[in-house]
Amino acid sequence: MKTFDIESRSHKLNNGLEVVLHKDSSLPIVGVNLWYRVGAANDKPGKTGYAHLFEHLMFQGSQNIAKESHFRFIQEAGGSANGSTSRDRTNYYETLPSNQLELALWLESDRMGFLLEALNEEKLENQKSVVINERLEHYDNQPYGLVGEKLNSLLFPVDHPHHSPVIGYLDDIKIFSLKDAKSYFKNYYSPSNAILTVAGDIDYSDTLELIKKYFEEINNEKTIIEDILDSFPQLEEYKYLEHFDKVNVPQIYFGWRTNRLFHDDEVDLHVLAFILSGNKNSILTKPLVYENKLCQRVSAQNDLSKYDGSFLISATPKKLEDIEKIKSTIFHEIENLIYSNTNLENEIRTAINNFKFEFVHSIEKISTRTDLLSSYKYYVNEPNWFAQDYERFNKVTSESVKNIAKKYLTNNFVELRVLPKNDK
Amino acid sequence: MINRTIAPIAKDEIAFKFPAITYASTSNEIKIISSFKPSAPLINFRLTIKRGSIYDLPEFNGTSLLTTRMIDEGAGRFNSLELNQEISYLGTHLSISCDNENTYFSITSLSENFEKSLYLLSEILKSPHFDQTDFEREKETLINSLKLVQAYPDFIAEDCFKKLMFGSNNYGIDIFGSLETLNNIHLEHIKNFYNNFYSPKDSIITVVGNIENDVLLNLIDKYIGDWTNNYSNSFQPDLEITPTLPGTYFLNFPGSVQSEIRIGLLTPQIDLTNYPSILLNIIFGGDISSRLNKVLREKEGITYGAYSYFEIMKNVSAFLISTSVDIENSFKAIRLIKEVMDDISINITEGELNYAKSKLINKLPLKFESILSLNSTINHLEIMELGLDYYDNYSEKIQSVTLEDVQKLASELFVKENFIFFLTGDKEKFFDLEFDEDIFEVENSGRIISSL
Repeated sequence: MKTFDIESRSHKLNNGLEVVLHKDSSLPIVGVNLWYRVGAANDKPGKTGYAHLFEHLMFQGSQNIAKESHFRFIQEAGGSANGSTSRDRTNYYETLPSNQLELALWLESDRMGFLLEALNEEKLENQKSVVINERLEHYDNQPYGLVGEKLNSLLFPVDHPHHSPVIGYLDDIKIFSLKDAKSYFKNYYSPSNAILTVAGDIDYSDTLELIKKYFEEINNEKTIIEDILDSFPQLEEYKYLEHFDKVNVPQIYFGWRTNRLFHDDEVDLHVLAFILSGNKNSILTKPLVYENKLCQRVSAQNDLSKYDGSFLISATPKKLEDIEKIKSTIFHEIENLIYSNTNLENEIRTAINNFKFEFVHSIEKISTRTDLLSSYKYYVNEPNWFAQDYERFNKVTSESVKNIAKKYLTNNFVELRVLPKNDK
Repeated sequence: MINRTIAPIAKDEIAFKFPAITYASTSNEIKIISSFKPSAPLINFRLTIKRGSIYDLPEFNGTSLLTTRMIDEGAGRFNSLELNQEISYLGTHLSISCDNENTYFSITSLSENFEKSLYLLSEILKSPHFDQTDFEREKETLINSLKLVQAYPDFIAEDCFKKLMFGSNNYGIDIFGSLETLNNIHLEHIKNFYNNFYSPKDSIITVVGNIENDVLLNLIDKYIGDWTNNYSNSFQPDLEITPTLPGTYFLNFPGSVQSEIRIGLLTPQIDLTNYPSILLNIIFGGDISSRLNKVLREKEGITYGAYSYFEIMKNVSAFLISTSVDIENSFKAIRLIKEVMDDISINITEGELNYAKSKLINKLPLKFESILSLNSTINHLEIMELGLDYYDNYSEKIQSVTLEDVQKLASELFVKENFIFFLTGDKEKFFDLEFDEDIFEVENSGRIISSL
């Protein structure tokens, strides 16, 4: 399929930096996207949130870039910039007019090569305080804000990469020291531990030369990758938790352990989530929201990383007293899906059509296309994996979805109920 | 080693040109504005009806929103579930929403599925079922949704702050209405809202995507051109805004671990052609490099972010500031914001102005990158009657703003005594804090109940 053929060229600099280039001159725009192979999965118990906090430090200036200048340079040039941290990686990105490409490369290379020269206690303490406020604003002070944290701590053992939240626990954030920051940078932020993707209105050879100019002189430090187990024991028992929160409406959650990103089961898990709750006619939505009117909404989704995954179903009951009825409906419908002879062809086609739309939509913008190129390079070592990724969906059948549901959703699971505090 | 001490200079200048626009109209005289954008096999179609929640009757606030929730629950030959299945099968994204002033129908689809998607949208627009069973379910869902969001500190803060800013006018009422007004709504109100306010004569269509214009116009006329509803309703919304007096107000939100801070001022003199105001906002609090963020985030570290913006609607304009801070820094944050106001009212630098100008001018290529962002801009320009030549000579218009223009506006705007300062947080935790101003405690309705 031509839409999904995103031609790219890959290179490796002498210091180990991997480079992906993609040319699209339809608009005078360029995307720069730098993935470091370190994320929250590398955080340790007692030192959670380090990957995310370090992402903040990367915007505090480097040897030749003053504090607060990174955003200012990019915005003044008409661009946008940000960073994000997942369990698998930390990325930094800019989208800007293509005549300003060199500016983004200058900024990214300066912090890759010369961050520590400008990092100090004051900047660290300032950003610890900002991150603490970020945590308060987005999690602690939000209704249902701690759901993800609670579910994952029940689903995964303490030493598992999914156990703790990406943003980290408050007490851990507070003890992050300058010494920690410096050793973190030296270990993880080396050229050989990164992928740089540049996409948009570029000339291939000129861009590669520019990249070499700014990045090739950066010294490489050996990255010591700690052992992160890729196989963890499954849940040995059903786990149940009631969390009384400052909410007016209860929510219930069920979580199962599944498998990692790009595992053979991944696509079936996505289709399964869609046919359970992707539209009004879905297997769970129709009986719970439309026929029995027990729920406001019901949702199924996957949370996957390169290490592991979980499958989550959540529902918002209309009445507190209906929770048990909702739970039994959910499990009845799952059982029915697995063991009945129902043909799911139409549901699967609907799911695939939706994924196709989302896929086309996501590669329309150069920023998301650049990120996907980095992502494929990182996970499957082939940036132009768009067509193969999409093709995976065409292999899904009724049987494969049922088998996946049976494989994972009949195992032990975690149940979390968030209940209004007043009803305690 | 290369010399890294100086920022690289931009290569050749990029000349920006606003994408080509085509005008047309349907048989029933709906204005169509479209732009051919072949970069992806996608089309975004929007039909905007210039009627929103300001047309709700006060005792039935929430009617406009509930109408948007009801209108796709069955239409033409499809019941609610059948209709949803038809749309979902195409992978098309359908969105029906409203704000204070407008109601929006939007479909984003693959080009290959556009005609079928448009047909389904036209059925929703022209032949909604408004079935009683669907109504009861959707009304109950909306009431529960309101209860759900009422646990969110930012919703509670916005809801109360709007009432302080806009008084009892519908601009001061969230589009949800209240639990009481939602309970008052019956199916007849929904049908009346549809019959009285959904009409071709108050609608516009904007389309951006990978479709040739003649094909597009034929399809729109085929499916929307026969929509009729030429009501002669003379209802005029109440546009009289009476804000609460300037001052500092507090809403108790027990259990909250942060304070939500909102600060605002009505600015009837400001519209989107007031270029000094756009530049001033960038300098004050419009982005992460602004003065507000420099002080509150990067210097003091007491917030994740602090922002300001001009909220400019057709009938109302206001300057608003928003941030969240840990409770012990609540009054410190307000004090710092006041200091930033004081300083900017007398001291804006040429460097700051140049930064703001460059940002605005240079970001034009990015601003219209996607079909959604381009259509959103076209739609907004048309609704606000700014003219689609708004971005012609935009650079010149921005460049012509002088430091004196911006400084004059800043000195007029940032008079602290004119602003409403609003905080919400846990009252118990506020008692330990020192503050040196009169603070009025208000209830959710915005009514003053005591002085702290």
